[in-house]
Amino acid sequence: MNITTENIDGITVVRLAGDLDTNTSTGAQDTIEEIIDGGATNMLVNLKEVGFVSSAGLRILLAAAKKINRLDGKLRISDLNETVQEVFEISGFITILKVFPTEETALQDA
Amino acid sequence: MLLIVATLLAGLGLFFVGLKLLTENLKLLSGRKLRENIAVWTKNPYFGLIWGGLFITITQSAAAATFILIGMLRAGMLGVRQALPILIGMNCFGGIIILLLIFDIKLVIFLLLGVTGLIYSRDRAGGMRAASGAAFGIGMLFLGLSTTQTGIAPLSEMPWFGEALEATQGSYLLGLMVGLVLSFITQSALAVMVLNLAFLQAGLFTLEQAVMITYGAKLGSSLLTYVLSAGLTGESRQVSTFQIQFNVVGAIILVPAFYFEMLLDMPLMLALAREVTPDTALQLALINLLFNLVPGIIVFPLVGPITRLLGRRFPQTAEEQLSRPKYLLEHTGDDPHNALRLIELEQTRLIEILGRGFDTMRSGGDQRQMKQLDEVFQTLGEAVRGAVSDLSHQHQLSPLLYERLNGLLNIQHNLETANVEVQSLSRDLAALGGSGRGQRFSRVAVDGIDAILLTFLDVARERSELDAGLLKQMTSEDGMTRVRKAYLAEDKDEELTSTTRMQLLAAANHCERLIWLFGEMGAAYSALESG
Repeated sequence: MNITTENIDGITVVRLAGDLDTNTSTGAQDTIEEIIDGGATNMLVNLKEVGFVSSAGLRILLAAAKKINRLDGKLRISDLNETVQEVFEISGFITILKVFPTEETALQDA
Repeated sequence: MLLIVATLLAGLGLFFVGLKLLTENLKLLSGRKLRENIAVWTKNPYFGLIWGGLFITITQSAAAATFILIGMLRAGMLGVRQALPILIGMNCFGGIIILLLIFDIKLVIFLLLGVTGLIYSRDRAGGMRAASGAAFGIGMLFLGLSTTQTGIAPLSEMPWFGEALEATQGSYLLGLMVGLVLSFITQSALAVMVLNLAFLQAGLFTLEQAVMITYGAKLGSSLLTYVLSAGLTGESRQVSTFQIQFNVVGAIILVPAFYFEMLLDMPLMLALAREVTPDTALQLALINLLFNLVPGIIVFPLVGPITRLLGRRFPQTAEEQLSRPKYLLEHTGDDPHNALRLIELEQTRLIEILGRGFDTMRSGGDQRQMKQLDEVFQTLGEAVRGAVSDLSHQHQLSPLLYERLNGLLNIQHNLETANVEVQSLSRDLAALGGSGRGQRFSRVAVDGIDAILLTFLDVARERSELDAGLLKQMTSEDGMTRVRKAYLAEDKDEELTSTTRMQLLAAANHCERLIWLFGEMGAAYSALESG
């Protein structure tokens, strides 16, 4: 899984590429935790290049959200493809995470 | 001739229906308490021998008895170390039943059938129904054997039959093969022995031929157990392997002994039997008994090393480890507070088993593996239910503890329902596999529901308010309905057949029920904490 970060207007944009599943989740979790530990508590995770998010992947996003919430920060998710959107819908993650259709709309959320 | 075949068939029919009736009613009789007692009584290997004797007397089939024992092993009531003496007892005492057959016990059979049949037909829901049904089964079993014996008697008068047997004269090895094949086909060494005895008594076989057919029947029983246990692993395989090897040990010793006696005129088994009695049928029954006793005497002192050897050859499977209670051990009910906590901990293991179901579905949904998980769940679930029941019977609980117990019982009920739903979901998703849209639905449904399950597991384990709140939110949304509607919509690019639509609908319904159940159970755990 390829992970890149960019700071836009004080928001750390984390762009993931590849499937976020059991095989890739540990590496992704370590990277995201490092980013949060580095002080990035205002975060946007862009899933535009992610083909699928498994339950293990959802757990990473949930863990990140919990950690950021504890630090009074904010986690946003954007650019879900149709399949990932369905996983979010079925799991109810659509209601517990702040999900935006695009990176632009997510960045507008103060 | 037609009458002979019909009588033979009638006898075998009665035998197998009797066996079925016996097994089904024994299942009803074998409540948790009884099985717990069996586990206690078999801790002493000498008692194990006696239990084995009773077991084979009731089941009449070494293969059937072996698999009943494997069932008990899977249920966690016995360890392999306890099971092996039972198997030895089964094999050693199995010969006694043949001795019984030599005597005319028709009067006893008829009385048994009459009395137990009347009780069974009148006591529709009473406590005697299972016991009388099992006893009626035993009666039918014996009637079947007796009918078979009567049926084949006229064969001795058929000229062709005598000629056919004459062709095998002098070939003891052929007798061994005939016994082996017949025992394998009829799935009962006992049934072959019944025929064997009847032929011997009718003068169609010599004692020597009948002895080799007996040995062959024993090996056929092992072959049958070998075939039936092909898919077994772990401790179940350890037990079946022991049973297979038992008869092989007997054959390795007694078949060469037979040839020594025949070819070198050494006085061994046959000479001993002839010394004891002039009755050829009784002689055969005694040799049959010796075949069972000799390996038993050899292997009984070696049960410990054999258990270790089998354990190394067929290690305990992950499923076997999962199905054994980890927290609910003996005497956990002494302190009600502690017992409740242990029940809760064991319930989290049940949730983990549900999670393994989703792992299996994710990696292709192997239905055999799903069935194994179902068995594991039910075994452990029964232990949890039993602990709940024990707790409510053994202690006078405070109203608060009763409330807590009631809450856990409700959760247990919902967990069992969730297990049924997981199993049904896996079957529906497996059926959907071929269709492109179905495949995609399977993928999103499995991971979506699994994510909820994992959050529910967090709630069960840690009871944090945050997790409970998240689970509540996750399960109160109607996301599944939206996804279902989208998949069933007409304007999707792929045309769905009506069958696929129905399968998709059924799978979605299971998902919706699971979401609801996880939400309910999460709320119940939260209520336990606040209570």
